[in-house]
Amino acid sequence: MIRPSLAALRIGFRQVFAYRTEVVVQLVSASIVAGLNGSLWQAAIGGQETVAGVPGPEMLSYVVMAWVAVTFFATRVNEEIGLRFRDGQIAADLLRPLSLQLNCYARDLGRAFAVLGLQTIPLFAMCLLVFPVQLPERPSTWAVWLLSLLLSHLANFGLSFAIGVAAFRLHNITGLTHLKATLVSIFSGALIPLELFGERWQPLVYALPFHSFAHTPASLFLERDVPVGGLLAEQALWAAALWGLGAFAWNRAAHAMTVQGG
Amino acid sequence: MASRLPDPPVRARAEARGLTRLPRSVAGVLGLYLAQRLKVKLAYRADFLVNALGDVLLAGVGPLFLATLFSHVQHLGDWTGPEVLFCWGFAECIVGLFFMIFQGLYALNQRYILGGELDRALLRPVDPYLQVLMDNVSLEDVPIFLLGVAVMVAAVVWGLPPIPPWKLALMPLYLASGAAVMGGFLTAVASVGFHLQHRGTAVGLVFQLATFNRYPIDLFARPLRWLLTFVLPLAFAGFYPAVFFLDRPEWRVYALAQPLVGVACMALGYAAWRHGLERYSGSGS
Repeated sequence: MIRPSLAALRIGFRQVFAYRTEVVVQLVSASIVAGLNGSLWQAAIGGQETVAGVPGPEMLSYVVMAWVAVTFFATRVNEEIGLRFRDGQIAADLLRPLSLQLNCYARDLGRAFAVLGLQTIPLFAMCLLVFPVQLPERPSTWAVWLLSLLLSHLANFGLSFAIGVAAFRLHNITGLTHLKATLVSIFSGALIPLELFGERWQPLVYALPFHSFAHTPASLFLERDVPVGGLLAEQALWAAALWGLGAFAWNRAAHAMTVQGG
Repeated sequence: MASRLPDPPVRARAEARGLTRLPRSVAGVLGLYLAQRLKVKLAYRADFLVNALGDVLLAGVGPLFLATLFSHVQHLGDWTGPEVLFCWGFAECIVGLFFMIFQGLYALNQRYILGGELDRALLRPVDPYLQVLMDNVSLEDVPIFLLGVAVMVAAVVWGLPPIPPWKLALMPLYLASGAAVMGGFLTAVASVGFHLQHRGTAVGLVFQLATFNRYPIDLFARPLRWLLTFVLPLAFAGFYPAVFFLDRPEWRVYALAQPLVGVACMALGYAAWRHGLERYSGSGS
């Protein structure tokens, strides 16, 4: 189980380098968006000392770090699986004595590692130059942050895999994909810092898994007064639950599927 | 666009033999395209429903963002809440128009150029550019346009200074030229696919930027302003036409240039398309 996964990891890593233009375009686009988004919030915070109880500089750092996290945890596994179903390649996957979920994860993790070096870290460095981002005081925070990003990616992978598998029933998952993207952008903290949601919405926001995608890594990076271990454990729990959802969906689907064409 | 449809005797003979019912005009062809489009949409019913739900939620993201933001801050730079909201709604209308008409540009690379579906369009006696657009006309994006209108109305109710009637009369022109800027520009971007034969991601970049072209442009640093005005002229599909309707005379020069920019973008886009089409060689299968 380990060796094929490592091979898949390597393949995912290398695939990124096959699309070099795409990597450059994405880095440019992510930096432009980071610049626009940061400026917008800079203007919004303006001279105010605190926004929704959060000090202005911390709010700006949060916005920047949440966007940095987005570049890392984004995955296209839902589209990949949906496509494999539509063109019938899934039949070949069913024949292989490997777990499709684990295999996909290893490949996506390899891709994420390449993206970390080629996009996330360069983007982060650029943001440091342009915006006054608060850096961690404790060196250990860096490790915690990276671990938290890995868990964000795992959780997002779990959900995306389950959505990809939904193609077995729905045949077409553009709708679900959009729905997920929307929920993530509203409730992860990537678009709206979660503190800005009113009192009434807070319980809902923190009951959903999405806050552990961007809000948690950003909070950990800013060394907020939060239980570090507790937050990481919560992320891990969500990741496990969403992985389970994907596994469950896959098992159900594998028994109920029709392969079209061939 | 020449309407070189089969002459009446040919049509009569074809219909007499029960072969097909041929449309009588270009408008008839476009009508058939629309009907076909609707059938395709309804093919995957569950997806259609989820998509509709997703669209409703997605449409709410922008207003939700602004509402949350302005419940904590009073101004964005030196712009008031109603002003920002109006610009947002105006740009949303433009995006709605754009999506309705130019959806086909998304599929251009993958389906038409790499997949070779353009072969079919080239064999028909209607301008292939129109065919690609008509094949993908998207009526389900009408609500985006309506949302934009609703947001503009909300901005007026919230306390925007009244817009003089002569400006209101010019609104359709400004909306159309905004959509033309986006459409022309994206046509040019998508036409790069003829030369590169590669899954283009530049279209995605334009869409990410299109969420920011609707905010007062002076909030952004100078290089970004320059970028949105001259390099990727998306500010002409959002903020610049919108600011014409606000009481901000210092921005008038951009608003006056707006219709010209619209025409220029569309012309450039179509020229890029023609140029790219000459390079098209089919997918070879």
